[in-house]
Amino acid sequence: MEVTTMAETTMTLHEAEVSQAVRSLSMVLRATPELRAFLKAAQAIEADTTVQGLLRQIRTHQFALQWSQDNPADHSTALKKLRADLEAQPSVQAYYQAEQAAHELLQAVDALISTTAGVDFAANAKRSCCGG
Amino acid sequence: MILSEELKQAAQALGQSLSTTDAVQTYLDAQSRLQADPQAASLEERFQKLYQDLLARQQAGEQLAQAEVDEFYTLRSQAQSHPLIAERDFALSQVKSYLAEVALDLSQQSGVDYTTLARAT
Repeated sequence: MEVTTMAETTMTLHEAEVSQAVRSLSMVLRATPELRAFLKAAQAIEADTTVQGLLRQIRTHQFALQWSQDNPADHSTALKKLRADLEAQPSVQAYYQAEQAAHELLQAVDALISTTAGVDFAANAKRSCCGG
Repeated sequence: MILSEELKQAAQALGQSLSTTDAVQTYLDAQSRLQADPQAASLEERFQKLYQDLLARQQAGEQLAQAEVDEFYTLRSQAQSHPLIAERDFALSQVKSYLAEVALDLSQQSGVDYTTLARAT
């Protein structure tokens, strides 16, 4: 049987408290109008065939540009138009609005977590590109 | 943004529990020791000031003089080898790694990318 040091038991208890706090906060966050609207807007975009079609065309032109296929200027022009079309879609505009509201909510939540913890939470929680 | 009482309490509870973890305590202790040492604090301040200045000028398209670049590397070497700064940097890397795990957990359970949404400008 593995013997646990006093320091290890304390650390485990603290981490369990954090896990419980994460669970509680997640539940409250999921019930907020802002996050519910954001998740609904994301689902609406997934289900919007016009938006998905535009995204597919955008990816095709981006691929062509990346691999220098055909005339790059033609692809750039097409991309510009497709992006404008995408931005004009009601479901995309609704998504941006919902995203902004969710952003404002989480910024306020993060400020509270950071002040209480004594360290900036989200600012220091960003994973590096290389898994650090 | 006005938060509901329930949300405030949940956010504060997470902040409070984070503050008691080994990773956060070790980082805060290391940062306090650094700030309490005038030599270390001054070295770090000079390094950060020089770094921000050079970065801003470089991003503005200015070609930096070799002497300035050399000064930067010399000061960085001094800062990195200072025991209190090295200790704080190590503690900071540990706390960042831990906070990233907690944020990932929060993202998975809430259904949104917490770190990106809380930081986005």
